[in-house]
Amino acid sequence: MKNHQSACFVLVILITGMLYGVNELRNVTNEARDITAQVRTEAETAEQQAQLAQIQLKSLEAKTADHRAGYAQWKPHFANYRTAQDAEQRIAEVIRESDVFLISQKFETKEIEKGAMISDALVAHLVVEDDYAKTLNWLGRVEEAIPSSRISRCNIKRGDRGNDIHLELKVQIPVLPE
Amino acid sequence: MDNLIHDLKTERQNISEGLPSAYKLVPVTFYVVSVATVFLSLFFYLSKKAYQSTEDSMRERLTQAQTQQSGFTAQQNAISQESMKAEGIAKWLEGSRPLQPVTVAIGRSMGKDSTVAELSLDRNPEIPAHTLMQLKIDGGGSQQIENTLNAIYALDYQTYSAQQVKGRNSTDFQATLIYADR
Repeated sequence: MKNHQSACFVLVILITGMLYGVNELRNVTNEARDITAQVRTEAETAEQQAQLAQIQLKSLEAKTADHRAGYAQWKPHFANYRTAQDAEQRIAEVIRESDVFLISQKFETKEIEKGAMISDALVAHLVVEDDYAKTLNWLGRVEEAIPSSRISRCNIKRGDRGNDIHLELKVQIPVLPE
Repeated sequence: MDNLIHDLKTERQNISEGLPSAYKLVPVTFYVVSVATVFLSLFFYLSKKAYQSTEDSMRERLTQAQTQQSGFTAQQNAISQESMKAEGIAKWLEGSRPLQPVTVAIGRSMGKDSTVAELSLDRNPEIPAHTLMQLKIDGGGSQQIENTLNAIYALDYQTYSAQQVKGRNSTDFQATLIYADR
């Protein structure tokens, strides 16, 4: 091979190398462009989803506002009775405070509805016999003092003495463990 | 073309023949490609840097948006859970309206000649908001029942499935009481 042919051969190799290098750089740039476009799409989609989630959140907040306000108001009353003993103690306090004549009392823990928010309750079976006004005031006092309570049965008859009434009550007090 | 091709050479005596004319394109191409390579490399390098910079800012936006979204989703879950609890409590309270006002209203509705012999209020175990009222009144008759029902209606209760049985000197009445939220 003559010298000039060798030189041309070297130049051709250099040209090929440069073209190859530039092409590689172009490919890398295109790859970077594609990745950027992909990430841009992902970012825009994520932003749209975030906006959607925000709208859904506001809608949910507005839709449940009344419920949640009521819940916030009532929660402390339910939170007072974490165990059946708490509820039993409160009933005993209300009886003691009002000084009604208690004939009998029986307590049991009962499952109200399985899996429900309020699943268990203390059920108090109370029999009271005392003055008409005093007994009905006491009944009101039970419902006032334990706002979360539910009187599931209330039976009133005449009492043994003049103005007395005989009251049989079945009171449910929901027990919400923490 | 000769000057262009030989401009990098120092002056010397030719020891070989000149480049054939077809071969002269090779150094020309080399120069053109060299210059183009410099410019294109610079262009692609800057473009790549710009893309990488954009990608970084997009990734930042993506992370920020995902963080926001997960925050909103967590808040939604918290609200949904709270709402479910609220519904449970509302359902309980719906069936826990105080009964004492009903007993008092019934007692106060009694006329001169009437007395409550027995009053029973039982909540329906399936639907606690429905209360079965069984009332036995001594004396008074239908008028007394009417007065008692008016007293109950004044408390925003409605009566359903009412039944009345008259005895010799007493009246048995029973009905389901449902609170009408007005």
